[in-house]
Amino acid sequence: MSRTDPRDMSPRPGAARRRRLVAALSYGILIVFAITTMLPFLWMVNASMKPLDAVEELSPIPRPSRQAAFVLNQLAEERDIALHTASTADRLGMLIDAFGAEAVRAALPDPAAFPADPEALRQAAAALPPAEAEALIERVAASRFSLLRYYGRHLAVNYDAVWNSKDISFQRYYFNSVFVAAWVTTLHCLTSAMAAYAFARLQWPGRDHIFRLYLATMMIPGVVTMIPNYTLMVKIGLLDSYAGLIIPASFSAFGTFLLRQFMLTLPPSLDEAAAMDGASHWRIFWDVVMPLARPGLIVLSIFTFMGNYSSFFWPLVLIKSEHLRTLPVGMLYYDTVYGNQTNLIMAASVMNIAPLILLFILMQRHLVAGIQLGAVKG
Amino acid sequence: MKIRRSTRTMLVAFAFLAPNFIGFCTFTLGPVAFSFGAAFTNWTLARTVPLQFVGFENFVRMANTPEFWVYTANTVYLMLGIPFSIAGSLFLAILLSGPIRGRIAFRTLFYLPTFTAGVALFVLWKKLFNPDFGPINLVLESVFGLPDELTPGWLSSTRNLIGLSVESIGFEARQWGLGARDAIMIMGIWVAVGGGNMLLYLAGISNIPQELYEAAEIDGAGPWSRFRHVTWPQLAPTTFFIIVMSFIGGLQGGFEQARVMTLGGPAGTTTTLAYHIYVKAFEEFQIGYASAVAWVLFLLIFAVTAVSWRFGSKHVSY
Repeated sequence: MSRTDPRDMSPRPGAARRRRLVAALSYGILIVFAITTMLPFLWMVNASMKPLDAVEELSPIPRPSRQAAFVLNQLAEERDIALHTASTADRLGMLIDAFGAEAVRAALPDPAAFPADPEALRQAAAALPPAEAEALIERVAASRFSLLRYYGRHLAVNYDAVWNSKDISFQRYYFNSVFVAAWVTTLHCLTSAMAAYAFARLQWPGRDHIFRLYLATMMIPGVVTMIPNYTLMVKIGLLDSYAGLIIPASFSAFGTFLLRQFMLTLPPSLDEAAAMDGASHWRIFWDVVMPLARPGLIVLSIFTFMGNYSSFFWPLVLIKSEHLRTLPVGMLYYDTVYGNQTNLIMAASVMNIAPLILLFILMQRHLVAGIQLGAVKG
Repeated sequence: MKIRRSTRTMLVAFAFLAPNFIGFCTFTLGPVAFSFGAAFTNWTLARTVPLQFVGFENFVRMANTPEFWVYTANTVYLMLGIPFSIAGSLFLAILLSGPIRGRIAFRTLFYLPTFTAGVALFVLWKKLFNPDFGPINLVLESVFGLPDELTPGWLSSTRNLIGLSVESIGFEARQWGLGARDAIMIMGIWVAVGGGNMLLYLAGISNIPQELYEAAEIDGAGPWSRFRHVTWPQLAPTTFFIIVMSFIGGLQGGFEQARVMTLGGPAGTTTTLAYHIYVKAFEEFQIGYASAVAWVLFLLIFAVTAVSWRFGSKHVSY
């Protein structure tokens, strides 16, 4: 665009309108992206609350025949009637009983031709040609359909089936995942903070060489170290154990690096003042540096926790016993066993992801700052 | 006897460093050295042959196995989504940097896929991509009126957008279409667009001095011109960092997707180098060969990093 473009000499009457147009366009594009981001999640949640045969329907509102079937099923259940053996008259009686004769009569094409007395109406309607009677039943039942009850019911059934599943113990997997991730987070933050203290706050010969060694290994892909680590676990008998999941994940060059960067920003006069007062190095570390490094520690603990909660490769190769599986591995086996039961699989996925979403919403301010801190300085 | 001050500091430093350093040596440094050694052996967990050093045999075998090259091509193919995802991240970051209400809400939403990425999300996408019952094909059929036989086979198809053939490196017209690799690529873009890269761009944009835009405005620069001459060059270091990290990530990627969604199939088309190493090491127990492939991957990553450092220090300037 040339420098003398007259359109850009503001302020001009068109400028405000153009700015509004740009703003509207921005919102439009952002909303389209937001919908694209959300759709898979929405489908997942919706599918997790449906009966299996309804999963293939795109619309969240079931078609009339399914609505009618759901209402009839509920009524039959309340009345302890076996629906598949109930005659047309039985089902009509059930509807009249539940919703009143007037509701059934009004759904007929010619209400005036039918009696108002419930029992007489039931017999008259049952005497209709079968197709008409069935259509009547579907109309009446579908008109009393409640979306809330429908989803409430299937949500309860599906999630109960997953949570209390006999062959796949999700409760156990939750415990394992949280237990392991909590240990890893605690140990990882502690070892990283101690090492970071040595790198950032103490002067000693060879410090920068060793730090450079740490940095260099951050580039090594995980697959290189995974194989020897696995054979090491086999050798020292930590295969298929909590310790095998926790210990190797509790040390990293990344955590040390992140906290070192953070501790470098604290003024050195702090430790000097504390040292003057006769504080030991451990006291300085624990009572002076650690509280000030809290923002960095929070970021590192969130990263560690969620990274470990979602980690898949290591538990997959290390764990053989069913009762030691973590959620991601459990999820994989659930998918293998119940692969065709999409509604249950999706309920399991929701249960897997929900804690992460909760953690994310609670911690998002810290996280955004942390991601930018970690990368900009990296 | 009094210990010298510097010796004392050194002891203290070692004490602080020790827990981490011991773990670091045991689980990182040691394994790296060990894996380098293993790459030159015929080590298998089955132990049908005596363990011995075989020199470069694993590497020679790798180079002579067509599958290895196909898996390398798969890895590179999946990385073709990177430019699109980076461009999308930049685009979103620019939109979010404008005078927008609800910036935090949008940012949170866009970041959600990255934060939740894992087995559960891959299982979800497997369902979404189901060629017969999945919502993606259902939408293509019912909303866009695509006939059943024209809808993509997604995860069950070997087709791809550049017509890469299946068993060797080459191109075939009948391989054009949308298949498993494209499905994984599309999913990858969906996951990454609003993720860390977008946050990095947001931080980068907020660091651009406002005076530059004011000066550009006085010179009569329009939106495109402001982007071309202010935003883009100012973001060059960020873009450079993102590209390098995406390359490194891409070369190591594809394991979880393959294990959860496709088991590397159909016909090995979603087997990346990372998944190949997993299969060799943990399903076929060929530790030696798997280590050799892992080292080739490492060298590739090393090369990318080294070249980009060179290039970066020369061409990216503020």
